[in-house]
Amino acid sequence: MRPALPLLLLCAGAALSGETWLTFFSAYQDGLEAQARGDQARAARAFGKAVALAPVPGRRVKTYGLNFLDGYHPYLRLAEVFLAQGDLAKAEAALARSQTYGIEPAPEREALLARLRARRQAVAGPVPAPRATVPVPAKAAPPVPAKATPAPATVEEPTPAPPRAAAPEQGALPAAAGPGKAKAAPASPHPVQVVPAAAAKVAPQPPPAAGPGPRPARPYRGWALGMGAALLLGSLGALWRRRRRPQLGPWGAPLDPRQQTRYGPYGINGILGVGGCATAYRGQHLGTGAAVAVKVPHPHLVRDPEFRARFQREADLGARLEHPRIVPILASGVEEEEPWLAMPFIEGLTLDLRLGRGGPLPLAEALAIATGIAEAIAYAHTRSVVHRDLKPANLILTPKGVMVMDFGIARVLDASQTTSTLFLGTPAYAAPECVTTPQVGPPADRYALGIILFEMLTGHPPFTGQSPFQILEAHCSQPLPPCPQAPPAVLQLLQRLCAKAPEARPEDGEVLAILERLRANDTSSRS
Amino acid sequence: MPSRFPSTCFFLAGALVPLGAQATPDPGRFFLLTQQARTAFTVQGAGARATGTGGAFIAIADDATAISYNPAGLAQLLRPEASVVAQGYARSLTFQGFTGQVSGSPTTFEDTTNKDRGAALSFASLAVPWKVDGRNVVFLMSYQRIFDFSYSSAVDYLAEANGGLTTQGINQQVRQSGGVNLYSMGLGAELTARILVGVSVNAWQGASEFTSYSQRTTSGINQIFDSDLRQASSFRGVDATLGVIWRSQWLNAGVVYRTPFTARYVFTDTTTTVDSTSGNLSHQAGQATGANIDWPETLGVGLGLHLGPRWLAMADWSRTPWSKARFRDSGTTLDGVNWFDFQKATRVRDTEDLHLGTEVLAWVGSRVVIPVRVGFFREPQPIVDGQTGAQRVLTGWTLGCGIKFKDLTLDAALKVASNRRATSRYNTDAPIGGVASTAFGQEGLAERWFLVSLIYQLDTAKVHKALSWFFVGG
Repeated sequence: MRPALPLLLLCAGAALSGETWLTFFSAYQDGLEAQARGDQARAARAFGKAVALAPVPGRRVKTYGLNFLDGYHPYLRLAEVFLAQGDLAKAEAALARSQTYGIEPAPEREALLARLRARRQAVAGPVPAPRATVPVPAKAAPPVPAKATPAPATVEEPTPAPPRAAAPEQGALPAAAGPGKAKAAPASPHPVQVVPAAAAKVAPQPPPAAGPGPRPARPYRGWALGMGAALLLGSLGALWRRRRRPQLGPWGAPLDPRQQTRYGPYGINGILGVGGCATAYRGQHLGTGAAVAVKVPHPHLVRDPEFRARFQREADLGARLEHPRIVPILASGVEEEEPWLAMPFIEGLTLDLRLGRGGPLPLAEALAIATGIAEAIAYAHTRSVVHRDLKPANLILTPKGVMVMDFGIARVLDASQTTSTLFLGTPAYAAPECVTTPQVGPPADRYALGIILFEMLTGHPPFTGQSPFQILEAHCSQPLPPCPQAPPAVLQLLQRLCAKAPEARPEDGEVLAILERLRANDTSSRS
Repeated sequence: MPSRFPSTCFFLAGALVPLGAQATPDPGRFFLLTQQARTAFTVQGAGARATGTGGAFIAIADDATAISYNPAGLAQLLRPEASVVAQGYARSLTFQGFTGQVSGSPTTFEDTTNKDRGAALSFASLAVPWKVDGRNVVFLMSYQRIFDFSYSSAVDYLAEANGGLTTQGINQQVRQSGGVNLYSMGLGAELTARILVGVSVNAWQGASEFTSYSQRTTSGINQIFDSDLRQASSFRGVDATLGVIWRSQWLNAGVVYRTPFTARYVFTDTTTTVDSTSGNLSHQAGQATGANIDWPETLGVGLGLHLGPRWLAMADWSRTPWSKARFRDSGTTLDGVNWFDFQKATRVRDTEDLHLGTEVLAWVGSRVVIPVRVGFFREPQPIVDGQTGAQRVLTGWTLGCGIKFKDLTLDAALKVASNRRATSRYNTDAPIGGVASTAFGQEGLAERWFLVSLIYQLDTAKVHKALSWFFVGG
């Protein structure tokens, strides 16, 4: 709402101090409507405003939208109004102005002149002889013969009122702006009766203004056009600067022009994969030749301070964890404002790919992998690190066993860093407390371990849905589905790991002990 | 037993599951409303005249469609006006050159094109002006179809792996209906000759239904039913639009501000899947899920230059901070999450639209006006591709013409938009729960919109008389 406040204040100030000054066509229409109602005084005021704004009549004048006036004849309308009011002097002045511009229809003007003469004669009585006439400038109107004969007695006009001094707001004619005023007034064939004093009083003729056409020239036209052009050019320039055509790299992925060929001591050989937050490159240490994976955030994320901080935390956390079941962070740094981190390149297959290819795992293999995961998270928990995003895609199956990677959204159990309300996990493996609590602890990792173990045995996670809403809701409310592949003891462990209440889940040590026992039992039973 | 990825995009789940051992897959999850809006999520006004000028109308806004651009422009209407706007579209979305590593072997995806078209009534209004102390005041009621979700498609997606020995395909049929409507009441008033102000109150009301049916083919055989997804949603909210126009003989300037608001969004969905081993159908009916969503404000600025009695040039700029679009009051951790991008709010961009246009009038005889219009626009979309980071930016041009005869105005406009970008999304109809892809290619979008407006100016006296009879009596 803040941007609107100054505007509202500005408008309020203008409303209090300003006077409504209608556009000429609005005023003209007001006059027409008032005239139609018989409100001559209001009509005179409105037509007066119209000629003040647009003094030059027009045959077709654009108003607003696609609307136009098919005949903007303010002086004829003024003459009609003054005649109706009985103000013959003003009517005569209006007709004189109409003739000056020569745009308004001559027959109508002539008819009004005839009515004017008839009214004068009705007031003054018969005029015995042609009287002196004053030449009124005319431009294009055809000559009209003077009608010196008195008007017939049946003129349909109201009883003339005595001439009165017209107030300016009552339709006093404003300055004429047409070219006719700038020229010497030619002799007019129109014999308008002289009413010198009154005409001079109601229709003073100020110095002429320049500019033909229905719109009078304004001094600000030049700078308005210039400012508008400058703004348009500025907008186009800004648009041009913001244009970006993505260059394509391997697999059609956009190749950021800032992409480095080396990060710190590591050279880049190719792309391993593109994730939601970062691109993983395959590289090698330029000194030792050791194969590494270099992780670089997407350029559009690097601009986000929150993400940069999170990425840096990932590097810091990884550097603190040294365990055979955890993919370590070798080094991290910033290369030309691009943060990066390097991990050893691990040959292997992620668990989700393994499940996708081969389906459910044998019980022994599933228990072995679960044990490896449990060892990794137990170690991390002793370092006050919670993974918070354990899922098959973060688990690499190597000949030496499973390794846990991507502590990218893991958080140190520090209050200052666990206040985010954002849900940062993956819904399929999210513990129920993730839905209701911004801070989750080690039990959330153990819950994810249970879900992963279930998936390894059945080939699919226990809770699925078409939307994150559904999945999260299922985690909170639905019991663990049946798992016929799991022996009773394994099923009991699954039930405990996937308990809705975090405190009901077993501790890391107990989990490891149960898994070791289950593996031993499974081995002995098979042998 | 529910399948692992029972959505319509299961094929991509099977074929495009992340493979890089070190990659971090990140399923992009999208809000249903934005997903159903398909290729464009731009809140803008209605009317063929404004569309013909590239959508630049904030500083001018001088016909019955003004409320949808700048309610202050209503104050310029001197006669009652009734308007009706209809629009049709034809859209083509092409996916080209998609390749990637799937299950360790290079996989090529066949180029495919998804076409759809439709038409609907997009706007209707009635404006009534009157004078208050000599100042023009205009009241307007309007209906606007701000998002039309009508959509239908049947597309085949096909992938080849192992040197062509293995093929996998999916036939996806999508039907979608509904939309979001805006019911508005607006008031425009002339404060001074220079300054016009306006305000409108807009009730947003939307509903939609979505049905997706998928069928899979593996190496030309084993065609099986995979999933049938049905979703329904509703959407309600109220906001206001404030506008100001400063005008002079040669220059107009306008500012419009659409207030932020909170809307109630509820949706339900039902999924039918087949168990791959038993063949049994599984119906999974979800409970209605409700949340409040924060809809951000929009600020627009426009300029209009009267280059001559018959020549008008306009330019608009508007900005919407979509990064503020958040869930609220759901009672879950959804609260605070951006509803454009379920997991990665940092991927949502604030958008700045630019519209430029001009209009030239020609008189034919004494009673007919023929306008000719041309425009340019640039409309970035809030969502970027989850994998490539590429943003969809619609750019294009517009053409318009019309005829004004007596009290009747007929306008027509053609809007042509296009965009090309690198993307990881091979299909568009995964409703929610898009699956991360390690295949990349080019997405080409081409849209054509055709709008027709009919504006009729009513007799002022008769309208006032009718209103007096209705509200006052006698």
